Amino acid sequence: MALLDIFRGKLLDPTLYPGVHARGDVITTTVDAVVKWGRKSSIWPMPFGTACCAIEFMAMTASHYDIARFGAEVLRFSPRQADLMFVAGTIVDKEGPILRTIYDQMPEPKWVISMGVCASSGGFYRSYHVMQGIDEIVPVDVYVPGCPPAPESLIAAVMKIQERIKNGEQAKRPQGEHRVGAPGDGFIDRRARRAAWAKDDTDRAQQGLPPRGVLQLRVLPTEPDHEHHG
Amino acid sequence: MSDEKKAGEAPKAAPADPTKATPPGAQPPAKAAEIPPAGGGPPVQQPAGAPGSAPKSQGGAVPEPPAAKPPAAAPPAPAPAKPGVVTATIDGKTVEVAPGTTVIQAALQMGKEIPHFCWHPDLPVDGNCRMCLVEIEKMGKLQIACNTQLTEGMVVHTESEKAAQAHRTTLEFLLVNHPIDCPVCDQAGECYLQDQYMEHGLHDSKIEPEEKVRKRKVVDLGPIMLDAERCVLCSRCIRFERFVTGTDSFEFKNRGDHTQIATFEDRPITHNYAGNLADVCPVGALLSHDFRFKMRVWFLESADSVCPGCSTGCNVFVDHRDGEVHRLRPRRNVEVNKSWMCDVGRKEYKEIAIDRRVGAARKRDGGAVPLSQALDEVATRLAAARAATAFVASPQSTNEDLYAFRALADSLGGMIDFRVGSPERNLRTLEDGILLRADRNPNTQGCLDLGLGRSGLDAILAGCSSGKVQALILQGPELLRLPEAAAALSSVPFIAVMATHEVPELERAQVVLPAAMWAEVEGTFTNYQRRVQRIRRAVPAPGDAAPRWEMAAGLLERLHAPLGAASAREVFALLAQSLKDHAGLNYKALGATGRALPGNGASAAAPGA
Amino acid sequence: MASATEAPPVAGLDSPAARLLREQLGDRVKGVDDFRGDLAITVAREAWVEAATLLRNHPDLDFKLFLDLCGVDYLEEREDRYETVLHAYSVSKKHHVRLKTTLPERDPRLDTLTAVYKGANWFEREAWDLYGIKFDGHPNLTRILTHDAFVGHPMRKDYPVGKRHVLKSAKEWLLTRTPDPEHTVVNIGPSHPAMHGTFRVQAVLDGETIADCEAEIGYMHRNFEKMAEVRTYWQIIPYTDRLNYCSSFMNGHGWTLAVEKLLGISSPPRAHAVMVILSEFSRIMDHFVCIGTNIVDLGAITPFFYLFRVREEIYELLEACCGARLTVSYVRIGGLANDVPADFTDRCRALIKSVAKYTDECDRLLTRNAIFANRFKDVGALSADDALSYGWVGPCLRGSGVAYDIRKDHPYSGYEQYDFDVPVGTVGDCYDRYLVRLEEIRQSLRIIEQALAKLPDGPVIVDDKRVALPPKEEVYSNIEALMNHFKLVYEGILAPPGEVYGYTEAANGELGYYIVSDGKKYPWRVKVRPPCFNIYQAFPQMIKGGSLADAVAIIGGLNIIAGELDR
Repeated sequence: MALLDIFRGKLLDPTLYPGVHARGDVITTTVDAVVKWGRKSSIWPMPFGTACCAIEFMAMTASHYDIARFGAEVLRFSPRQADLMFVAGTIVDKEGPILRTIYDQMPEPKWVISMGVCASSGGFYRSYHVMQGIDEIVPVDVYVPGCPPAPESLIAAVMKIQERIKNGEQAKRPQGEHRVGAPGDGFIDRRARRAAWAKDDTDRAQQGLPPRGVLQLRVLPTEPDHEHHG
Repeated sequence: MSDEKKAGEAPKAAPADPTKATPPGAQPPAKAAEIPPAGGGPPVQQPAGAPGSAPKSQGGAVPEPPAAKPPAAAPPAPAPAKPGVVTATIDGKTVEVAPGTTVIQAALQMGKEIPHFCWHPDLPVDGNCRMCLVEIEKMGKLQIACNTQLTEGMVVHTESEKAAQAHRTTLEFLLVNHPIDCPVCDQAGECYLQDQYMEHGLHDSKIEPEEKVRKRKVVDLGPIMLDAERCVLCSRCIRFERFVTGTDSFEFKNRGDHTQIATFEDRPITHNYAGNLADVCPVGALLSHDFRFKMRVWFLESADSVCPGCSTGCNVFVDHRDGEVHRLRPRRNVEVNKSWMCDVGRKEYKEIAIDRRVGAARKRDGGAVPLSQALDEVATRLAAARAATAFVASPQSTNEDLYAFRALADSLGGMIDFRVGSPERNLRTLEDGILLRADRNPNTQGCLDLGLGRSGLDAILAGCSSGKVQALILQGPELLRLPEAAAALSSVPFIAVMATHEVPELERAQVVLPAAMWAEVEGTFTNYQRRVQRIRRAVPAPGDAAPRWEMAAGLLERLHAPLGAASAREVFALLAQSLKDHAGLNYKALGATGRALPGNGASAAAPGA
Repeated sequence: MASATEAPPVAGLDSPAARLLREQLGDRVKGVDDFRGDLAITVAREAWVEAATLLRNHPDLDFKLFLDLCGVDYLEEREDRYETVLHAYSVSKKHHVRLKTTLPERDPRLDTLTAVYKGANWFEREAWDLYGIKFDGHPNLTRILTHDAFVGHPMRKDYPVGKRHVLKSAKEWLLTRTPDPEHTVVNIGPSHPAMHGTFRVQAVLDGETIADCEAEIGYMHRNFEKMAEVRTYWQIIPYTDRLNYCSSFMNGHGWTLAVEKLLGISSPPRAHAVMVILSEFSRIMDHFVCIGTNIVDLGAITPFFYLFRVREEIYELLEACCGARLTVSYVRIGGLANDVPADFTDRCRALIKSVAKYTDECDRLLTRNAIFANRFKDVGALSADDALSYGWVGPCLRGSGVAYDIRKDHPYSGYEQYDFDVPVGTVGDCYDRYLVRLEEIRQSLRIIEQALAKLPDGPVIVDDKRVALPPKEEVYSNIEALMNHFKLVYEGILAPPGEVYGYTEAANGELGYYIVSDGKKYPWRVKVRPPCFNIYQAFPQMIKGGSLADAVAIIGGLNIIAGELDR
């Protein structure tokens, strides 16, 4: 019986439950919708704030921007009591294992917002100690660009997370795990990229198309005696 | 010159007390010093006597200026401080130069660059841009440094107020009709106008864009693009075409404000030295078509190297960014190539691209394998075959590669040669009369120096056919391409080849070892003049590709006859110890321009000399 | 009196420090220099400790305040590859000194200065970590900023900028001494509400008392200094913003003054006045964050909301000036990026009233609050001598009773025209530091009012084409300005070769930039003298013997900002 499924722990992971897209019946889909509504309206964030973004995060929790409107003012510094982790600030290689540990300690379902460019891609720290994006080690649901993102951007990110909760989506694998340890700067292997572009150019040429991104220039005929004077 | 003698003698006659002696119509000596030397006279040559001494008086109502006699205050023409050397002062520093050196060359010697456009160290002097004006004491008007020889005791100020103002105004005039093109001009980053504006200009513009004279833009001359508006009329291209290549392609047309540079009927440049036109042009008027819009110059890093296109060994800069080579530029070497290189060499950079490169070792039956595994296989075969081996070196390899290869052959007692296609026959033959030589290999001379032509290629091929050769190691795929060798090669049970590019011939080899190219290794080449020159690593080799000497050292290691060197520098040190002519050489001694070994071949007059 | 940006009247080569060192060391003094007024003395490395001891202890020199110790790598430019540079200051004599020694590539060893200055401990660990310079006699020469699995010494010139090493698991044990089995070992941070995300302390607890502890930093080591070696002087401005990000404008202010000192130019007066106003507002913002977050750590949330509310108003002012709230990048070398908006004065005046109101609210809520007083009084006191030896500066040092404020002693940007007081504490406990900060806010308001009244007209950037970008209308309409713009952007400002130490009174104290230039477009070396680094170094000592709750109270009041601590 679907209602009893709650007690068997089946309904509590939105990714397992079919929801409105599969063959759930009226009672289960309603329960599911209610659970999701409750979940998205009372997100308990865990602020993994390290740098400047943490200050803007604090500004978002303060009275002017007031994340309490979204029911998310209960900041929990213990991951075991939180469901949304804000990674706010640069994560350096030293902090990496700690970030992963904290992520693992969060109970399901859990989401991650990568706040700011440093967390999303290393920012402008293309250097020897900075992780070039937290998605090397944790799965990220929403990336927020900005350095730091204004609190409005962050609230938009929270709303995106609410969308994801409603749709039952959740990031599972770190999106950048093939890039772990990628160098920050100095030698970026553009050769592979250029080889791919060259191949794309030749493929398009075979189809009779011009290469991507190239404007066809009209070269005016040059008449040697036609210089006009200013 | 008799004038000189008189000028030199006169001060002796001049009384010690200048106020007493008053030659008729003379003005007091104090004023005499202010009168500029009367007109005329070529500004080029300075008599070695007292500076500022005027030619004979011009006559006329003006009383004979006592400038015919040098002013009493002037000291007698000083005897040279050092015989055979001209000693003078530039910007307060003393310089000693060979007689005949111009002021601009002397300043360069002491590390000071006087701003210029039309002067080029390897082209005849023209003196038309007037940018290198400097103030020379006792010469009233500013003089151009490019065409003024330094004389004994001359005192030059390159940055005095007058000189600085001259630089600024000259630059301002050159910029009057200059188009506002920097965002679309490739020269940005190596543009004389930009650099000299920051150092010597810094003036405000007085011209509106509508007032500028418009000329033709984007004229396609084949390997060169012409933008006539950007030209500063320095005539370097004209002089290059006239004196270096002898083709006389460029000329000024129209006159006055509308003077432009052009080829006859906009015919394209067809000779082999078009790339140098983009190099000599100090602004963005002539630009390379191949490099157009590919990369901004300030992102590029430059590695000093040597072109591998032929045995001339022109010195180059390898301009690269993030592992990709974007172009080659000539590096000045007075002994080898002056400031030029040919277009055949310029195109060499395209070979370095990754797509056709061998990135991993492979066996014919088995596909790609780690390099160490491939080396194991080769070493096993060599150890089994011992003296029944043959080694064919490649004149594309560096001296270090060749040395290690020879060590490998020696340790086993196998045959060794390099003369596939007889490159040594054309080693010195100049193909186009300027720089390009018929031998398209950079290191044939190195092969000769190391004595690699000892077994004879025919003997090796005969050995292959007869079965005497059980293992054949090739430093390059040249032999695989030789039709005469096909039969012999098919009889050899084991062929290993060190290859850089994927070519169909590699099919014939049992093991393919990935070799790194010239721009990816440290090493040396010996050019046709027996000049040993360093090449430097610019970009990393793809995948597992390694320098040939490293692979040979790996084989020697496995054969228990270690090379005893862990870097190219150390291999060269071993090489220098083993060859008489190379004794005492090391990388530091080779410097930036290399060192010629004793007994160079035919004289090597570089073009434009 | 020497200002932070002008040459002092006394020729450096004849200064007492140079004279006395020459007398004592003889020919072991290798060189004396005073480029741009900075006294720099190079000694042989055998005389390193002796020279430092003389500088510190001689009554005429009295260089008691330890500022900075760093390494510099000259690669092949000089005969000896490395240099170790010590900066020190005398509060009584009001002069700075730079002591240098050179170390060869094959054997970069030097005697430790930990016996002379307590603060040298962590700085020497940093020089070991980043350069591989070994300090003989150092109690614990281990990596401090990079992680344990890091291979190589990253600030060396031949270390590639972006080469990373991945850390698989965090370091488990920090303690150097084996704890008593009766005691509990507790790991605090780095992910901890009171640790601001990036500090870690391992404490041995005897009940509630901390018997022993060890701190670990480096969780925000973002390689500012390595980035600075591959960026032009302008491009470094955004990096400076992110040092002390609570008052980011002040970092830029200090940076542009240091570079101007190197170049030998000065911003126009209007730029200086605006920089003073915005710096003081940033100082106010920083103090609000410090007090607010300190209180939140102790469990009182209301002041946090009040103080962040007023921070929003200051953000609005900054946003009107330059478009950004937190990391402003408003300064340029030679002045400001653009002029302030037309209603700047009115906005500032309204803001002054608002800030004063909120400061009074905060005062009413906290200062005489019994719980607050109990938790803060007589907690975390550090004596003035220890503070100087560690290199404490700013409100923390003034809380301990030492009246050193660069705005008074070496005024810059026109601070000498303004009338203000510098609050100084007596005991040096958390309560004193809190009171000093609160009073500094009020004094900052005084300065801002006077600066607004005297705000001069004129340009906001220096009129020098080698430093300031030409106006955009010019750039698009004539070739000279276009070329100027191009060269400045892709080549940047070319500073003359030399080295300077430029310092300003940031919110946490003396923020210094030691810049070594080789005449090219990138600086050769930039060392940030981070006030937090010295302050946090004393933290383990301060919390030993206290309770865990006191440790939380102390760390908030020190205002350790990770961006500045770890750079």
